[in-house]
Amino acid sequence: MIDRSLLILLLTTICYIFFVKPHADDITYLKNKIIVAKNQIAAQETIKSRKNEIEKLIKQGNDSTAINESFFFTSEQSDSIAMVSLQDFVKNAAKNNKIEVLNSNWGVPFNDVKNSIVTLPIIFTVRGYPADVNAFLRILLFSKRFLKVEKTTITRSQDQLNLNMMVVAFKRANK
Amino acid sequence: MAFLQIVPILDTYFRRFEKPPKVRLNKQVVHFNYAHLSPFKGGHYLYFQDDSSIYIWYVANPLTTSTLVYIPEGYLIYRFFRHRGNALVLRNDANKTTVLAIKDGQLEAQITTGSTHGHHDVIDRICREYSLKTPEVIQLDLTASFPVKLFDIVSFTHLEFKPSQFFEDALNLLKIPITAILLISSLFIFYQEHLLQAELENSTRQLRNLKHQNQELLAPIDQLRDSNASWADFINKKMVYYSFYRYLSELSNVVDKNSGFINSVDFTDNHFTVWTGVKASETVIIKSLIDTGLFQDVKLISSTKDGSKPEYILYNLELTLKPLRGGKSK
Repeated sequence: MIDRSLLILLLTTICYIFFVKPHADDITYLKNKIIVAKNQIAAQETIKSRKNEIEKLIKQGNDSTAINESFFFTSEQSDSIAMVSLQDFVKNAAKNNKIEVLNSNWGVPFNDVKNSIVTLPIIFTVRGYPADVNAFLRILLFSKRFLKVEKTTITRSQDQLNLNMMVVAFKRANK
Repeated sequence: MAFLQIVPILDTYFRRFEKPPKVRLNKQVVHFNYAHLSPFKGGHYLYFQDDSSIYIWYVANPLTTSTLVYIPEGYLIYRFFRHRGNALVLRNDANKTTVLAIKDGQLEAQITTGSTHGHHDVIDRICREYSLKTPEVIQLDLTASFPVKLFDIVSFTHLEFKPSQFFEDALNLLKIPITAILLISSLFIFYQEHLLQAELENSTRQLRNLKHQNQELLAPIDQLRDSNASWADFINKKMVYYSFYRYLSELSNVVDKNSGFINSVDFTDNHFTVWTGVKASETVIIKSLIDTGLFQDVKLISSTKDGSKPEYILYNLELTLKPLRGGKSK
């Protein structure tokens, strides 16, 4: 004779193992997800409560970025215009310090795609007295734009110095 | 349902049987051998056994399954007085007297007479029948009661452990509670899961709202982070060393201090190659250049006497620049 209670126990046990037990396992998973969500909520609440402080820091960051960007030619300027500006600046600095510019050759602009920066190289050949060369190089150093002197050869010719130097400026690339 | 019930002494008929020493008779053997000897209809009995005897109390009334353990009152009285050795214990109930005869610590007889008076004849007869010499006669007070000990319950429970039977009995006993527990815990699990899902949905919604509210605030931070990374990369690549002007100035100062002159300077990457004429020795000039703190290394490539100016020595030097932030030079 089939014991009805025993049969019910058997069915209940099978149902428990195959249908209820997976849900019991899910409970641990749900609890962990809730803990993660609550931690994230706490972090977002902190951000919200420190809104003014964050905005102030962002403003400071933006100001610093604007100052840094001012050392570059802007992305609105074409490479050629930027190089013309660079060439004019160097020639003016030379002229103002009695330096003779014998030659200037444009190099090929190099685009750093990752950082959106274009390097603009121009090779100058100039001649002048040491004191004038000193003043001329100081003006390049403290120019409004960030200029870098690379690959330079200086030779003495009697009392004057001949400089063959590569001056590099930087421009923000179009994104 | 009661756990324990004491069967009154007047409802029982006692007999003791000898059995082989150190042999324990199981329930079936006791029933087969002694149940039919009951003077009452129904053949109900209670028993316990020691090493040499089996003590049986035949019971007048049926023993129901609603009580788990029955203990005869006669046994309780006997157990209380058995250490007396030889004793006759008399108990008066209504108009009857019950005498329990104990000989050498064993219960020999439990006899009930119809009168509470003049039971001396009965005592004499019992003493003769069971060879009791000068037994201690104990008259029980009407209010006397005898506590039940755990040993008594064990003695009259007659448990026989059979694993298969035990499992079957346990299953029969527990099947409904287990089913109920499984069902209740299932409901509890589903209910808890439902609550947790609701809580998770609520938290997720709250988090989504907060993220949406903070999005406007955080978007510039991402832009700044990208911008900072870009600037850091630029500085690491393009500003490894001081400016060309600073290195050249320091070089000029050192040469000037040593009353010298520079014929040529070649600057590439992180190197200066210098042709200079000074009055000082190579040791002095190299030390002076290192002491500026701007050059990591100074190598003397060549040194020759200047033909036109004998007091000068012409040096060809290679200067390695020191990095700006103490990093490694190329």
